[in-house]
Amino acid sequence: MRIIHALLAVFCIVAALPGADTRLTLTGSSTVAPLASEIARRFEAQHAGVRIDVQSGGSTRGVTDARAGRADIGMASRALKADEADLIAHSIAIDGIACIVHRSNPIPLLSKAQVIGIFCGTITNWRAVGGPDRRIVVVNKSAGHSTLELFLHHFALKAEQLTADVVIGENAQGIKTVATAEDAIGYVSIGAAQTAADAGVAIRLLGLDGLVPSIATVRDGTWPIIRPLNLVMRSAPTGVAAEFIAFARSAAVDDLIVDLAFVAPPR
Amino acid sequence: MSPHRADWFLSIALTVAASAAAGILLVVIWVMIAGAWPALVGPGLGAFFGDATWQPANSRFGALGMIVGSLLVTAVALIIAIPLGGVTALASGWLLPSGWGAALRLVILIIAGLPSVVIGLWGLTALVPVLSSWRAPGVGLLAAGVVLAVMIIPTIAIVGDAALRAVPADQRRAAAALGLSRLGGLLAAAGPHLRAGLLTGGVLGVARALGETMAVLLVAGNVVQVPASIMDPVRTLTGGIALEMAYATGEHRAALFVLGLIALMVVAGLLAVARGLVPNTARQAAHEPKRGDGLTRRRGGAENVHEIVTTGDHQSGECCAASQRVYLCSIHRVSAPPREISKAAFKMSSRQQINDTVFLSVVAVGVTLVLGVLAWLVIDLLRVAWPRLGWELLSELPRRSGRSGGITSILVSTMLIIGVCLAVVLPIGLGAAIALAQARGRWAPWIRGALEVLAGAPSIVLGMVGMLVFGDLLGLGFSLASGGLTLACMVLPLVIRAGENAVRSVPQELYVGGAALGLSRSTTLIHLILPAAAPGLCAALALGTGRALAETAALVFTAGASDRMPGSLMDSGRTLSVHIYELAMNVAGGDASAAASAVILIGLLVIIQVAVSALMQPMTTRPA
Repeated sequence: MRIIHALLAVFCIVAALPGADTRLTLTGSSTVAPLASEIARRFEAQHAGVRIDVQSGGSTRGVTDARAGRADIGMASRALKADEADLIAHSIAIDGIACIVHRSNPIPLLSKAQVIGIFCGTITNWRAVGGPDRRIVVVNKSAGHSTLELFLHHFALKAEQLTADVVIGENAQGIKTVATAEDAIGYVSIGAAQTAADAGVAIRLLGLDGLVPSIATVRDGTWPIIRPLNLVMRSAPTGVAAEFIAFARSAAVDDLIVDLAFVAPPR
Repeated sequence: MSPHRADWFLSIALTVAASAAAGILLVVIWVMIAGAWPALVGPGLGAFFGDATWQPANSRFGALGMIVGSLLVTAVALIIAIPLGGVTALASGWLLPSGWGAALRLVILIIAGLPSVVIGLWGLTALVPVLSSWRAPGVGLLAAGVVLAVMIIPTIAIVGDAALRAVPADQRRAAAALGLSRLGGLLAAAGPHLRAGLLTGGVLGVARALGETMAVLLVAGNVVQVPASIMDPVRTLTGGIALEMAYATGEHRAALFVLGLIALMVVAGLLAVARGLVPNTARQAAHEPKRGDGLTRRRGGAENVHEIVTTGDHQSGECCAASQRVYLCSIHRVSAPPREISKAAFKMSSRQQINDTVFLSVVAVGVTLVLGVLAWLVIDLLRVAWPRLGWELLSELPRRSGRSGGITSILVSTMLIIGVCLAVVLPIGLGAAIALAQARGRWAPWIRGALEVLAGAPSIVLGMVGMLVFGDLLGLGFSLASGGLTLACMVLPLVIRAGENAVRSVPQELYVGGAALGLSRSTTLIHLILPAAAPGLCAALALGTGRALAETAALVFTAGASDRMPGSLMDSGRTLSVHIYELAMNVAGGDASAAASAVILIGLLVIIQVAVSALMQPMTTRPA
């Protein structure tokens, strides 16, 4: 019983500790979340008494939370849609989407038609696209991810046309799945894929129609599937939120953007 | 305060505690229906059972694929786990000499204590690559079934072992004296016990398998379909919720609540069926032990609490009742079997000798397989964790999403969440336990039933309710407070069940003595009963703590997943289990850190386990 008393005492003391003076809650895109977290950490270090909570969900969630006021700032890894004109987007970085395969996969690139064939189930063997005689394992994203929406939009596909062998949630799970399955193909954020590949994860980014997915092609706009990483709010930012957004859009976070293999927006 | 008024207050307080605990179930059902409402009035319940086309974006909500997925994954797990759990029980509870049996039991307890996310991590990093070399991608029905089987083998083994050990020693000796073969002796003396044990263990395993979320999500492949082969990917109901909840809005979100309701109904229906399977008289005997049978009751109670404590299982509340049933059944059966034994003796033949050899080989192979998987799991975990194990892990904050740095903030968040949880469970859980143990009223069976269903509810369902009630309604958002309160709802039924048995196991003589001395009910309770039940009550709390430490799904929606050092209870934070899940699932290159965190978590759970055993020691060995 004495132990329980001691635990309770410790608990009461901690519970009575004051929270941060000012709090910002960010929710939304799992692609933006790692960058927003790092920016938030740096911002907090410079602003005593401010605490910024970053919760990762999806872009759709970020938009609805910002609209409903559940979050101070929503995160969305896409441009706002026509029916989201009530919100204001602040772009903090640019990212692309590319297909990834296992590092041992000899295929250097695919054409647009081949990608469509693979993801729609008309091409089921790597031999059909010049690879070894092995069944293709298609890794798709679960509903609600903007990565999925952009992928569908670029290839002019509908969600129900895609056939998948594995359905994953966030970028990292897709990367992990492809890294453990030699015959797999998936599509993820270029930033997330490049960071993982640089860290030695067994994946490779796949070219598309003669183009190479890289920071450089995303920066000069030649890579065809690119998107802004946005912070969205329902009104013009004020106070700490305004300071945070200004900070996130400043050159002071350039190294963080580079570190996560995204591209800084033109300043 | 007069003794009479103190009694009155006490009984009111205890009744309130018990009702509050059972009331949670009503709140859960109410909130789930409220959350599901937009989908129930929009597409309607029929849309969920129509087909297997799950396209939330197009308002197609065919959940058949996920319902079938949940059931199939559970079936595969049972097909693997019942034989393996059964032979393990045979080895530890019947065949092995007591020293070796105890050692095997200890190993099984260690597996039972493994958090499911750790087993899922093993599935993802060790099992899937092996399966994938057989047929890509490796994730799918079989992988999920094997991972679940590893989780429920110990449940079945422990319950079966308890059932076999409840066979009176006379019967064993009689079998030996008659010169029966091992198989013959087993069938004659312990057949019914073993069957009852496997049945109970199987039911517990099914509930656990249906309710599991995160471990399955890691290895099931998650494609919504009715699988055509055992290597096909499947999505379970709980996995579907976990995968899409953070991304869902509007009708889609409501549809996920319908999935939760379906999962809840499946488990509740199963528990009702299981209730029907266990004979009514045995259940009555379990709840209303005969007066003046103090020794029996005490031994039964102590064993049960130990059982619950050691399974570390969501379902242990049920488990304890079940093992008590088994135990009491065994008492009632003592007189019957010798005749059966002598009948068997006449059938001894050389063929039976061969059967015996085959039987022993099968058991040996089964046990080796179970031990082999455990060794594989532990070795693989240590191998992956090795580079990250070190002092910095405990002394530093996580860096780069947890890929480097330590887990200090995670440990603090874990302690705070458990603190909130215990702060609620301590008064309500123990109050309800005492109230139920002494209950004479008609309401007690209802409350027990409600708690049984609540104990069987998939934890992710409680997470959804916690998200709506604590997060949205009470405005706690993603916070340690919200997570702790949700965990409290989850572990309450478990703690109450174990606590009730601890109080019940107090000898009747203490009540009689208190009454003889003219003490009031409250004085008897506080000064005589509670001290005697204290070890068991502490064990019940420790059991709840262990369960809370291992939880993932209920926390992701309520406490969030921030890896920061929390500044207050209103901050978001993640426990060790959530940290392991996030690293395994959402951080590329996070495996080593996940494994290292898992090693720490297992260490914590082993410490709790040892503490519980130490607490229970005086209870189990106290002379009659």
